Amino acid sequence: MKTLLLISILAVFTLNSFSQDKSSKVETTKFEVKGVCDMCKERIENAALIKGVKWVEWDKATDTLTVIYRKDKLDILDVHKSVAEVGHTTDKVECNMEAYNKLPACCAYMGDVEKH
Amino acid sequence: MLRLHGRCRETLSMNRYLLLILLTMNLQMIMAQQDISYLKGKVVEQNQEAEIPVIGANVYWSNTTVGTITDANGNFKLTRLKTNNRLVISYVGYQSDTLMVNNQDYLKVALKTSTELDEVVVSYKRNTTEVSLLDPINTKVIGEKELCKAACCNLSESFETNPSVDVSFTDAVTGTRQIQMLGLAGPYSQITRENMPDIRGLSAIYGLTYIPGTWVESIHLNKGAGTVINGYESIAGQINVNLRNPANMDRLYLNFYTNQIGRVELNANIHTDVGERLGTAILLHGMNNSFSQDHNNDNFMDHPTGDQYVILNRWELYNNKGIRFQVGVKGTYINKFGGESDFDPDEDQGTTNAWGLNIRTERYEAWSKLGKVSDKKPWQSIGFQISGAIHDQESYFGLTDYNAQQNTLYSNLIYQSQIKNSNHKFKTGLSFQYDDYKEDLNNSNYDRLEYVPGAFFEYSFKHLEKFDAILGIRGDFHNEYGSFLTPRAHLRYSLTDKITLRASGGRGLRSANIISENIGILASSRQIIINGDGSAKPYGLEPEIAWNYGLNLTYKFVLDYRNGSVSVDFYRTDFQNQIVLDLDQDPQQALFYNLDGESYSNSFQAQVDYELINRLDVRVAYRWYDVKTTYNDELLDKPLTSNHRAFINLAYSSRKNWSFDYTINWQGEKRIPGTETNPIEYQLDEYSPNFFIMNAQITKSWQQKFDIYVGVENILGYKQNDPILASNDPFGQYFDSSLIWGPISGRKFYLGLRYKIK
Repeated sequence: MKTLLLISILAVFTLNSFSQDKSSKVETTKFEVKGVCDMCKERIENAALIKGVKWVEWDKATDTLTVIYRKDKLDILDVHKSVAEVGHTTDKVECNMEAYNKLPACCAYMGDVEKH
Repeated sequence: MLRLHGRCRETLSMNRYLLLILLTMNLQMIMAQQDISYLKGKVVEQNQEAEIPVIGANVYWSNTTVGTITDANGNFKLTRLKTNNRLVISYVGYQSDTLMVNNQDYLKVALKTSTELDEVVVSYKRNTTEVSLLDPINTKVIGEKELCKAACCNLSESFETNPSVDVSFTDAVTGTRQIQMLGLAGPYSQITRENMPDIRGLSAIYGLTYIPGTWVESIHLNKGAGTVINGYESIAGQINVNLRNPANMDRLYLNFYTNQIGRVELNANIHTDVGERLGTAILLHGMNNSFSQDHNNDNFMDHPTGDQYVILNRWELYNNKGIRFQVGVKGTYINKFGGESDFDPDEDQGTTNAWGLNIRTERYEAWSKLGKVSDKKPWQSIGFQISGAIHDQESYFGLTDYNAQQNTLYSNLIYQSQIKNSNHKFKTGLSFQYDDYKEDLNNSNYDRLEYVPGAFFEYSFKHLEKFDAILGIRGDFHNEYGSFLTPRAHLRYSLTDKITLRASGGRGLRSANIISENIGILASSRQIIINGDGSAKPYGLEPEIAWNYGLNLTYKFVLDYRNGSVSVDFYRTDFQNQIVLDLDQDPQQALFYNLDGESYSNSFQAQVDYELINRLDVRVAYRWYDVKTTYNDELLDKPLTSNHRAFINLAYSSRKNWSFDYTINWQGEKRIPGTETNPIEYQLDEYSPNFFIMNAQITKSWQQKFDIYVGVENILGYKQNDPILASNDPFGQYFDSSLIWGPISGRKFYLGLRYKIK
């Protein structure tokens, strides 16, 4: 029993030592994505998390999307395209208007909707 | 790090549906002296027009011990840290909050009062099952997403994706599932509905089916000794079920489910507000199963047929000057038939033409909660809970008649406040439990009356985010057992900001409802013998008393930008007295007697949760039990409980709203009670084989409004061969359908729909 516990604790610490990925192929970038609410946040982050992307976070207050990705596996423009495809304009790609028009009223960032 | 739904603000100890925090960050740069090494500020309560300073609030950098307490004017001054800019403000009676501090020198934080009176407070995050690092009690929260992974349909089936709870059938004919925690039967875990005792007494086993899965908002599961506030009965753990409530439910939620064996279910949750201050919810459930099936050709139906209807109506007064009020009623009706396929209830009841069973249950419940938070001292509150139930079961199993009624009343008064500051809180109060049982088994009466007044005191100490202690004691007086004390303790210590160690210990006492908790033995020819002492105590037997101790280590990590956690725990339960059900002495008897000798349960569990690749969550768990009881001077493994179980769950959700869930479960061999004195054709092996069970489900959702799900239970189609002993002679002395160690039915497909209007 005690050995089992010890092994588990050891395993925990071993995992810990692996938890920092120092790969130089990993790049962090930020760019602007338009949006207004928490539903937008969910949609944007979900769309940005494509293959090759490790971590995303969209900040509502500043319209900034932070993307951590593998630059050898992915062209960052693909993230812009993927986000634009679901209806959110980025600083490089205009949004797909068809998708934008289908967004719920609360997400209509091109209109008078304020951040909420 | 929170991803996707993770909000900028990481809330601590927060109840999701009471996001009462109002936060104003006034970037007041008026402070002339730009002392960059300190952060100054003020904590206030925004009360209508005025601002009241909050004295003695905790202000500290998240996950550190660097902190301070606000002074008599609510002001604080705190050293800045280079490594940490997340400031936590907490105060009892208010909602805690974490905020990001960047370059501002002065912060004004307005807290809003928390009027929540529930006992279990846990953080809400994105994960489907979440263990908080901050809660001193080892609590797992099973949220709606997790519940949607399970095929179906009621509480007993909700634990399929959870390795801490084992689910098995009580027998081969009634279709009833029972749960186990720490290797101990379901009734050793206290099941509460919104912190009021709910599934207990006569409903301890069946009661899990009275709560439809779609009614459940979340389940809080904690292993080991629980809080003393909800009573003295919990031994192995506590399961608290939060039902949908008007404050945070959708306007309409419809669910339809059907499966291959003809089970059809309809569930509807409806919510309307009456004016601004009052909300009501109606929850409806109907289930019908009219197809008789016998896939293992033993001439017995694999599942009972019948109907089940449950209806609940609740009202809630929305936050109004610190007053909380809610009231609810619930009605349950169940009528099911089982047994031999050619059994006709009208013709064959009470005869030996064919073996059949019928269980008809009616249950009515009502409850209310009233709470008031002090206007001037928001850390003070008083709450009152009251609930009552009338339970009536009429049933027969072959020639055995079993009728039982229970009238229950429960009330609890809780006062909560603090000593000096919010690091020292306490809850104290009085409770009363009343149970009037009338049980009739083949014309033998086991009527009894139990009433238990009690008082409790629970002290919680908190030192920043590093250390917590909850020490509780309650004293109760039982009309038959006399007075007894229930001490319980929980400790939490953060070794680092990622690793938390918890310890718990405590005592529990309960009076066993031996017949209804072992209902499976009625579906056998075993003669029931109760070795009581003839006193007025329930069945003439002593109460069950046990001590439980546990240790838990939880470690959260981020590996390659994805979150994971490791949880390891060990629990031991030691019985001072137990009502032993002895199936070993004689395969034609079921003996009940007070424990004479040792009885214990050791349980070890290790679990790893990790998002292996983006959107793919993996859960791997292993658990080991050592559960032994002294049967007639012989220390034996508890029957029909596997010592080993391993578990893997994979959950993938695509970007296009598809979800895939897959679970594989391995269960080790289980001891089968002795049958060696039976004729050779009615003997069973000493141990069952080990086996695998696999389940899978695919869900597609549209616009978070409409879901379709299809799935398969038991993909491998593994079945226990001949689950019923002597099924060819059900009125003979060897008949026994209660020796169940594996699945009774094979592969099963199902289909379901969900529709929501927010």
